[in-house]
Amino acid sequence: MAYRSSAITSSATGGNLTATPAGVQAHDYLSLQFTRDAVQAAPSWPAGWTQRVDNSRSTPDGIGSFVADKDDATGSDDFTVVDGNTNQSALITSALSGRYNAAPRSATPVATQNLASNASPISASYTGITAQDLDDILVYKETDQLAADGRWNFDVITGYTEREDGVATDWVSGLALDTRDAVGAGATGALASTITRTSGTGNAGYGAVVMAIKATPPPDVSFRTEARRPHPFSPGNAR
Amino acid sequence: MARTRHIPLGTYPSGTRAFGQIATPNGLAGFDIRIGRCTSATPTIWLDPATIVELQLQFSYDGGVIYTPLGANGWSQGGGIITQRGVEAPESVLTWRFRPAEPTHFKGQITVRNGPITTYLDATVL
Repeated sequence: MAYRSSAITSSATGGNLTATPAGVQAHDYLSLQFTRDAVQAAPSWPAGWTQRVDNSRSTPDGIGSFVADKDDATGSDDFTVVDGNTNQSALITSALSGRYNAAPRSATPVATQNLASNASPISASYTGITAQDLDDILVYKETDQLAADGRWNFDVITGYTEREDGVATDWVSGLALDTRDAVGAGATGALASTITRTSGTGNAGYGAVVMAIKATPPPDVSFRTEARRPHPFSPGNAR
Repeated sequence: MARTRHIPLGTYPSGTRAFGQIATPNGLAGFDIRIGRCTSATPTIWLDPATIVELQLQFSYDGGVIYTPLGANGWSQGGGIITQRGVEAPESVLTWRFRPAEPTHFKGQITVRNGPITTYLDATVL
């Protein structure tokens, strides 16, 4: 019960984007990463979704970067990000199963911002998170590229599985999702991966959001002990 | 693979028009859909900002038997000239990527509201 599926899409002219992970079931935990060229207002999230992180930044080039989630899926959920903006945009959506819908985040999501203009390949480091036992970890990564035609891709973080990586759209080509199921309790430590410009020109900064999502707790089974009172008709109670 | 025109340049009334199904080879990394839009050089194409184009895509992973539901994957936007960093965008380009599970086919429908519209639709398997 962990990572179920994800989807990725992008638009060269913005607008409303919909990408639905396959096989979403009721009580899945849903999340998304939306990026858009340049820092501007957040889009409108689908019904029932909550923005958790605005990781937008104006340096080195300018990128809008948001993470939102929905704690408890219905199984027929809306994944449409309504955006009146016309800049290039990209969207990753994902679903996890078997999560604790009542309070799924073990800790506040942790954001990383690298504001430098880095030449490829970039040795990227992302601030980690403190997990509880059996948490699933989501790492949404993105680049802030300085040239339109650059196409940026991420290596997977060691010990994680790469779920999505990159779109062929100017200015927002670098975005990716790595996940790891059922980690042990404690700090993940810093997470690292290499980011490479696979075609085109220019440098890039980067960012990431790390989330730790709780497993459904086991049923609350408790045992109660009581002092046994003597039976009223037992020999010890004879009058 | 080659870019293929699935809806020819023409003027279309409001309503819904289907395209596909389109077979995708093994190893498909994704595809893009390109819809022609208005620029200073092509002023008759999708001129009106009030004219809304809604694209809905459906993916099949079993040879075209079962498709993902309508509404699950799509895009919509109004017309008019869009300028990005001083450059007019000649097309709306929508990209979907698939990894690791790749569909065998996809199909779609394009809905025009507040038409008519003059445009075209191309698809390219990446």
